[in-house]
Amino acid sequence: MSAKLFVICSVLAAAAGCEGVNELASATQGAAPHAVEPDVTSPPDRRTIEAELTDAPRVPREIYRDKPAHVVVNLEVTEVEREIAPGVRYVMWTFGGQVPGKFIRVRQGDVVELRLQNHPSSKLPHNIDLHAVTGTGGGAEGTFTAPGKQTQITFRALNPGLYVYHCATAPVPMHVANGMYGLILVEPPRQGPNKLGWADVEYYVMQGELYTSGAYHAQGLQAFDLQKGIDEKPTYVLFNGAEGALVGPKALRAKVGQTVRIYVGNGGPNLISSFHVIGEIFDRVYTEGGTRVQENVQTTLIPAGGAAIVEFKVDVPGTYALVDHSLFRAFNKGAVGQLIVEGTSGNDVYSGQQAELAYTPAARTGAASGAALAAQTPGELGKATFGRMCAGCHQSEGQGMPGAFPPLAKSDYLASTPKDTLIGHLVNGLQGPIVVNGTTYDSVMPPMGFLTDDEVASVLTFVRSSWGNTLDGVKPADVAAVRARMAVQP
Amino acid sequence: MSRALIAVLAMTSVAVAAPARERVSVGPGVYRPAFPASPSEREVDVAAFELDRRPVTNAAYLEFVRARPEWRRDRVKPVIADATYLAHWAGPEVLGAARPNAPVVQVSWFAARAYCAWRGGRLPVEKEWELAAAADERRRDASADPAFQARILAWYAELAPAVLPDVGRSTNRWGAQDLHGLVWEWVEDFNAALVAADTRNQDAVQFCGGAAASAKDAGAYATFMRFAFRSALEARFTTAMLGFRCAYDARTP
Amino acid sequence: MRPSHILSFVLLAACAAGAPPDRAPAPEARPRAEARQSETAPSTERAPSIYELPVGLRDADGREIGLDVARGGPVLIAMFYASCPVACPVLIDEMKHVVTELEPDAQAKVRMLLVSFDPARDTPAVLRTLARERGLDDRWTVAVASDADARALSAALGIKYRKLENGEFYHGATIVVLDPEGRPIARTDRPGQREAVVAALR
Repeated sequence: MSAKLFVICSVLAAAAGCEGVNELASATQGAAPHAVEPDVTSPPDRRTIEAELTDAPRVPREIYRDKPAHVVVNLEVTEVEREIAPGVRYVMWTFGGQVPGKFIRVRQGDVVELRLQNHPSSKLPHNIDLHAVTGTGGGAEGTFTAPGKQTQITFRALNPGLYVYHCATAPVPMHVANGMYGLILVEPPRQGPNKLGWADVEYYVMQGELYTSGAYHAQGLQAFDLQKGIDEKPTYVLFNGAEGALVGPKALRAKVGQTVRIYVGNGGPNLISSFHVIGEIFDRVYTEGGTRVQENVQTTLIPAGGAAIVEFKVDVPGTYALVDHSLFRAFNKGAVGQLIVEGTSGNDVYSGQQAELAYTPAARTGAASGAALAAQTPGELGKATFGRMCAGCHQSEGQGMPGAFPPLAKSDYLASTPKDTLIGHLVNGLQGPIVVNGTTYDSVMPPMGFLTDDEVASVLTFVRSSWGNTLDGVKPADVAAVRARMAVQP
Repeated sequence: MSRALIAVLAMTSVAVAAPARERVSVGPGVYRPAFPASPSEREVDVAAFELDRRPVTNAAYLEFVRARPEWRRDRVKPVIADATYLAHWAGPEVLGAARPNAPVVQVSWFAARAYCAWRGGRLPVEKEWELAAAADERRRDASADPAFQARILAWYAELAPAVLPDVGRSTNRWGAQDLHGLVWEWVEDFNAALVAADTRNQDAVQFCGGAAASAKDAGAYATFMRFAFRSALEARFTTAMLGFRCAYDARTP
Repeated sequence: MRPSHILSFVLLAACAAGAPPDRAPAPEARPRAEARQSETAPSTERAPSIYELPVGLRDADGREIGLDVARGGPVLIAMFYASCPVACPVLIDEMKHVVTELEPDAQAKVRMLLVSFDPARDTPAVLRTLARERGLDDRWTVAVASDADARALSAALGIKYRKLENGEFYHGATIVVLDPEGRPIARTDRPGQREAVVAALR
C-alpha cells in the first residue's frame, strides 16, 4: 500500500518538476541514487540552436538540455557614442551595441559556432578572446575582422564556469578600456554534481574603467586618455558602462524572501574589484567564477579579466548598494549600483532604527555643563550630583564613615539645621566639630561653590528625602538668595 | 567697381590660373618605426619619392572607371574586389550622393594599384607612407611627440562620419594633406605588417629570421592601430573608411 | 495511519507546495530559444579563383607561365625564397608530409606550386638547384614572380611576408589548398597543423 502511494507521489513529483521531492524520494527509497555522469562529450545534436543573447543586466534563461548541442552565436561589433554620465559622452566599441557586451549562455560540452560581425560603419578591425575557449588566443586569431566583414570560429566549451570575453586587437588595453568586454557562462550540466542551485532572479553586472581626457563629469564628448590608462588612474569606474546604469528606475529588483544570483564580471582593463553589497552578505560565492563555493562572504575580489558568481537571500525590504569597496571608486568615480528589495519582512532580521536620543555624557571635572544638566529632572540631577560629589565621603547610602564623615541617613543634624545653613555648608564648606546622631565628627567638608544653584538645590532635596529622611526640598531660588546674602557680606 | 570686388576678382583669377600642385616631394629621410621588424630596422632610410598631395577623390576615380570599364562595379572580377566595391556610388558610373571631392573609398588593393598604374605611378610602400605621415604641420618628424600621437589616436577613436568630407584639410610639413584624420589608406605592402591577428602572441616559430617584431615604444598606440588595421585587410577587401593615394618614383633631374 | 502513509502524504504535500518552480517573470515573453533553427548565413563566401589574377610567373626553366599550370586538379601552393635558412625547408617538408598522408590516387592527382618572392636572387638557375637538392619531382613547379606580382599573389592568398632592409625576408609557413579551378579551400599557417589541408585533399 505504502509503496503504491509512494510511486504515485514520485510520479506526481516528477510531473510537477519538483526536484527536491525527487531527491527525497530516492533517498528514502534506501538504494543509492544512480550517479549520473553528465554528458559533456557527445557529438552535438544535429539540430542547431541559436544562442539567446541578452543585454546587461538581463541574463538568458537556464539550460535544461542533457546533451551537448551545436550552438550558434552571432555577435555584432559596433562603434557607438554613449552617454556615460549626465552630460558626458564617450565613443564606446561594443559587442552588441551596449557595454558590457551581450551575455552568452551555453552548456558545458556545447560546440559553439561563434560568428563575429564587424559593422561596416566601424572604423577599426576587432576580434574576440573568450576565456572559455581552449585554443590559441581564445579565438582571437580566427576572429580578426575588418569593418564590413564577418569571421567564424567553432570551439567546444570544455570547462564550466563564468568567463570574461574581450577584444584582443592591438592596442588591447585601449579596446578593452573602450568597452569591449562581456561574460560567457558555461553552465555546469543540471544533471551533474556541480549544477547551479536555485535562484529566483539572476542578474548580469560588469565593472570596467574609463580613462577620459577631461576630469570626472567634465561635460561633452570625451576622448580616450592613453597616459591615464598607462598610469592606471581612471576617471570613471562603472558598473554596466555608465553612471546610474543600475540606479533608480534602472536598479536591480527582487522581493523579500527571494534568492538573488548576480553574475559579476570585471573587464578592467586595470583594476581589481572588491565587490560588496551594502547591507547583505553573500551566502554563496563561486570564487573567480569557478566550481568551488565559499560561503558567508562580505566582499569578494574579482580580478581584472575575471568574474565571480554571488548568491544571497534577501530578507529585509529596502535599497541595497552594489559597490566596489575601494571606496573612492564608489563615491568619486561612479562605481555604485542599486538592488531594490520590495515586500514586507515579517521577520526579526533587522529592526531599522529603534530610538534616537540625546547623548549627554557626565563631565569628569568641575561643574557639569549646564546644557547637559538642563536635560535632567531635578531628581535625576540630585542623585547624579550626590553620586559625583558626596558619595565619596558620605557613602552611597548616606551612611557616612565612622570616625571620619558623618552619616546623612536619618540624620538629626539635617532635621534640626535650617536650610540656609545647609546651603551654606555646601557652598562654603564646613569645619569644626559637629554632633550627628549622638556622635561627634570633627572633619573638613570642602567648599563646593562651583556647583550651580540647581545642583545645590537638587542634591539637598535628594539627601533630605532619602534613607529615612523625610524633609522638604530646597529650591534653587533659596540657594540663590543665600548666595546673594553672602556676596554682600564682607 | 569697388575695391573689394576688384580684390575678389583678382584672387579668383589667381586661383584659377595656378592650380594647386597635385604632387609633393617627400624625403629622402629616415623613418623610425614604432614597430621595428628587426634590430636592423630601428632606422630605415627612405629614398626621395613623390606622393599625391591628397587622397584620390571620387571624381578622379570616376574618370578611371570610365576609361577602364573592366573596373566598373558591375563588371569587376570578384578575385580583385569584393561585393561592396564602390557601394557608396549611386551607379557603376554615377556618384549620386557621394561627393566628387571626397576621398574615394570602398576600393580594394587591386583597384588602387590599377588606378595608380593608370596614372603612371604606384601605391606607396609602407615606409614611404609612414615617413610622409610622421610629419605634422611644423616638423618633418613629429613621431616622438606624444601630443601628435594623441591627436591621431583621437581620430581613430572617433565615430566614422555618415558622409565623408572633402579632401584638402590638414597640411603637413611635406605639403601632403589628409594623411591623418580622413580615411585609412592602402599601401603596396600592406600584408607585410607583422602584427599578428592576436597581437599578444608574437610567435617566433611563425616567422623566418628568428626575432619576432615588437613595438619599440608601447606608447605608440596610434601606430599600433594603423598596423593592426592593415593586418586585418585582405587584398580584395573594400571598406567604408579605406581609400588611397598614389606614389611616383622621383623624377630624375 | 501507517508511517509510510504519512511519509507519502508529506511528500505529496511538499510536492504540491513546491511545484512548479516559478521565477520572477521575464520582462517580455520570448519563444523558447531551443526550438528555433539557426537562420543566419555562413560567415565565409566561396573564395574566388586566383587563376583570374593578372599575375605571371617564371619557372625553373626560365619559361613564362601562368598561375594555372596545374589547373584541373588540386594544388598545394606556398611562397618562399631560396636563401631562407629555416622556415622554407620546414615548409617544403610540411608539403611533403601532407602528400604522404594521402591515399595513392590522391597522391597521384595533387600538384605542388612553390613561388618565390625574391626575384632579385632567385633566378631560374637557383630554382633548378633547389629543386634538385630537395628532391622535388615533376609534380612540383618551382617558380618566381616579380616584386609586384609576388605581392599581388601573396595578398590574394592571405600570405604575409616582409622584405627587410638587409634583404632577408620575414614570412610564415602558410600552405594553401586550391581546388581544380584555383579557389582556395583550405590552409594551414603552422607547421605540424595540417589536418584541414589533408582533409581538403581527400
